Amino acid sequence: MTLPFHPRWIGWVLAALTVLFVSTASTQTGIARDEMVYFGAGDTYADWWIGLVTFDHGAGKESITKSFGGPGATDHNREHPPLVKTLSGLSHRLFHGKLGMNELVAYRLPGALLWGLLVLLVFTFTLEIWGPLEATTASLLTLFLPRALFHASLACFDAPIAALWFASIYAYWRCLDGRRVPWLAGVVFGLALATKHNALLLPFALGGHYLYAGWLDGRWKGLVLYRWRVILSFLILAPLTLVAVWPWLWFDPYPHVKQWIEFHLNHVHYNFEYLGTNYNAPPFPWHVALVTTLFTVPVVTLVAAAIGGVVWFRKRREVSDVLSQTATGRAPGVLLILSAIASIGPFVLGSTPIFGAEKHWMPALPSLCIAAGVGVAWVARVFAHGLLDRARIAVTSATVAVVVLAAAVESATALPNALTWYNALAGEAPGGADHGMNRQFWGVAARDALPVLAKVAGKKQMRVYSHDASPAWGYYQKLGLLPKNLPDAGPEQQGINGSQLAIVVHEKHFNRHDYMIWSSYGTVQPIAVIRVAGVPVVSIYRRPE
Amino acid sequence: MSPLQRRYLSLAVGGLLVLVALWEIVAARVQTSRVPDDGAWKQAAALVRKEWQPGDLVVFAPDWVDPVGRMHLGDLLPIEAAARPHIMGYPRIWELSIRGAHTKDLASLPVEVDTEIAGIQVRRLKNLPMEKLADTFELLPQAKFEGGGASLVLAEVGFAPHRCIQAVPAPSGKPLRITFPSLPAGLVATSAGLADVFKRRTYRHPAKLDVEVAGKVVASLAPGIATGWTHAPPFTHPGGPLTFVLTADQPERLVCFAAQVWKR
Repeated sequence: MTLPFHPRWIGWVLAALTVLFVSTASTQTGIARDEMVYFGAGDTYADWWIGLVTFDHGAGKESITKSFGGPGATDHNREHPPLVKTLSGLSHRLFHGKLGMNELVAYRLPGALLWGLLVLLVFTFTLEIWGPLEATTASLLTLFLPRALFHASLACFDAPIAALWFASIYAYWRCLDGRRVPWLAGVVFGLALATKHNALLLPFALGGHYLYAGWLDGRWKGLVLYRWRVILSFLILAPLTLVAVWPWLWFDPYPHVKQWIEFHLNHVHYNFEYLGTNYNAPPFPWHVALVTTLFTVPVVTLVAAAIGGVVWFRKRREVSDVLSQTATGRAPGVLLILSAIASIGPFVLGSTPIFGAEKHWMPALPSLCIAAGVGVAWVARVFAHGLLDRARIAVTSATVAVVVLAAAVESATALPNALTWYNALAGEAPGGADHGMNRQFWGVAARDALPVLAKVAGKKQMRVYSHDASPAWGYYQKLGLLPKNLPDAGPEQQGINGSQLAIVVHEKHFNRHDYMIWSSYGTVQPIAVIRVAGVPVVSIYRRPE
Repeated sequence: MSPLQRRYLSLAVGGLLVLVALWEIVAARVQTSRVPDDGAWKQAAALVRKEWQPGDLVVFAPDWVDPVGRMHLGDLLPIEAAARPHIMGYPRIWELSIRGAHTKDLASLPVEVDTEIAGIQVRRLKNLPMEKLADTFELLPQAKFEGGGASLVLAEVGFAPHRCIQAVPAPSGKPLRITFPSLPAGLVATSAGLADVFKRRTYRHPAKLDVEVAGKVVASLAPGIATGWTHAPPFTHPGGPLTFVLTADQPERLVCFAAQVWKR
């Protein structure tokens, strides 16, 4: 079938839909604890850049340190590179400050845009290798990844690094076509580095693929000379890009980079529940990433990816032939496999922190979704084989639709508290709880407790022990989601003792907060329990009068 | 493989994918609606309240539904009962459970009542009637200390609540001795664990708790980072002084223990 328009338009439409979906979802998502830090840092970074280009200040060491650094390891959030925070800050200044957009959505917009970019790139990459049917399906399955959709709706780095990781993969792959100035590869990788430290794992995928493709192309000589300009692009443009967007590296770059990397090599292990056990120190089970992925990606996407993997392997020569018309030896299948392995591999070691679960290896998901797109398209063609035009189109569309619908239903079920959600194989949220999988983190679900607290308090002034939502408390009030007569009572036992209302965000290691409240309130009875599909996420207590 | 066989295999694989998709669409909806709602809990709670007798205990399973159970029946559950050391002393125990889960501690008890109300299984189990003669938690002010002190706390041990005596032995290995000068004769049940999830993360070595009668160790526990709340085999105390000896080789081992004397 010939489309009456260039198939790339489909990718753009899907990307736009993605941005719309994610932005809409972000209006319902509670504020993650870490987001509060990123909001503040983003505003500071944005103001600094605005001040620089309006000649309010120069680029001196003192001015940069005031906005981007400091002596402490986490001063101005210098342990994380600045790209997404800067974009969030600029978005906040522009879309909220100038255009009146919802403040939360404005901060979170860059994440939504980058997730739209990922959907577009998945489409484009798949289109170049396979065709519009595979590309459309792969993109839709990328869009309907429930956990990823949730992460994309936050002003954090996990969805953006997944997007820029894949953008780096794609840019590198495009630059293998023999172009004279493959600047794109280096610049995009630099942007990935400026997003999150996961990007430091990318060279394992890219380097592995380069050696493989180089060997195919020219044996020993090819290992170095295959596309040597791409290597130069990575070596020169990537660090330059990173430095360009991160003023903290404009002076003392070596110690600052060292401190950044050391921070993550020595990162504290937060508590995380997995299969009924609370882990907060290595060794972690080798299968955490595999089981978690098995439970947090729609089952239909996993099955389709398995089919697609087999189809891809069986048709690998065909795929190679298609490519040979434009470039030789670009081996996209191997690149996607290496990308997934580099992203998820460290979590098999048993020593890499697991506290973020799937968000830490989200860059592996585009590989899975592309394979799934190939699998679904193959199945659709099997069903449509031998049918006449209209019937063929109908059968093909129906096959894709039913698969995508399953993933969409999972996404709709998951949001806005997708960290509590698990797929149908796990038994959804209740099944995840039965299996002892992590309930949530970052205190996002506390947002659902706000209307209950407001109703209980009425006009009365009541101090609230806000537990894990404490950093966001003032912001909820600023956004009008919580009345001003419910101030935060402060942290730990002292805060509880001075409170009239208290919430506990349920995670296994947070049980102690229940017990502190029992001691102070003299009762074990919450007045309300917020649930997701029946699974408790927040308990609300009121001090007996 | 012949082309026809290949075609059938392909159709089977395709059929599997479509079946998985259809199943997932239905399962996502069905599985999320299978947890009993507040209406069900109210009905189950009404049954328990109707039959409730002083001295009864109510528990909920699985653990994750505990907050919902407490919301509906928490007024029947004093802190002492919620943070109990074990189930001894409760002649009748109500268990409200969902999704086929049950409380491990109750596995050996005979069931007197077993009914299901809107997805909630309500069971009443019969426990051995036991009379508590003494509780170290209440007698701590009378205790004598060597090598440190102790306090009464409601602590998180193994992610569960426990009212206990909390003591921190010196990391040098020097024992901290807590002696209760005159406990009555009877069966002594001792339980212990390490409190505070963050301390357990920082320091990984177990502590040791020995129970001595007349200088002889009669029970011993080694509470560690993964042992949770553990119980020593009960022993018969002839009456008189009983000493708890705590040792550790790392700092901040928050050893929490509880011991009661029961009439046999």
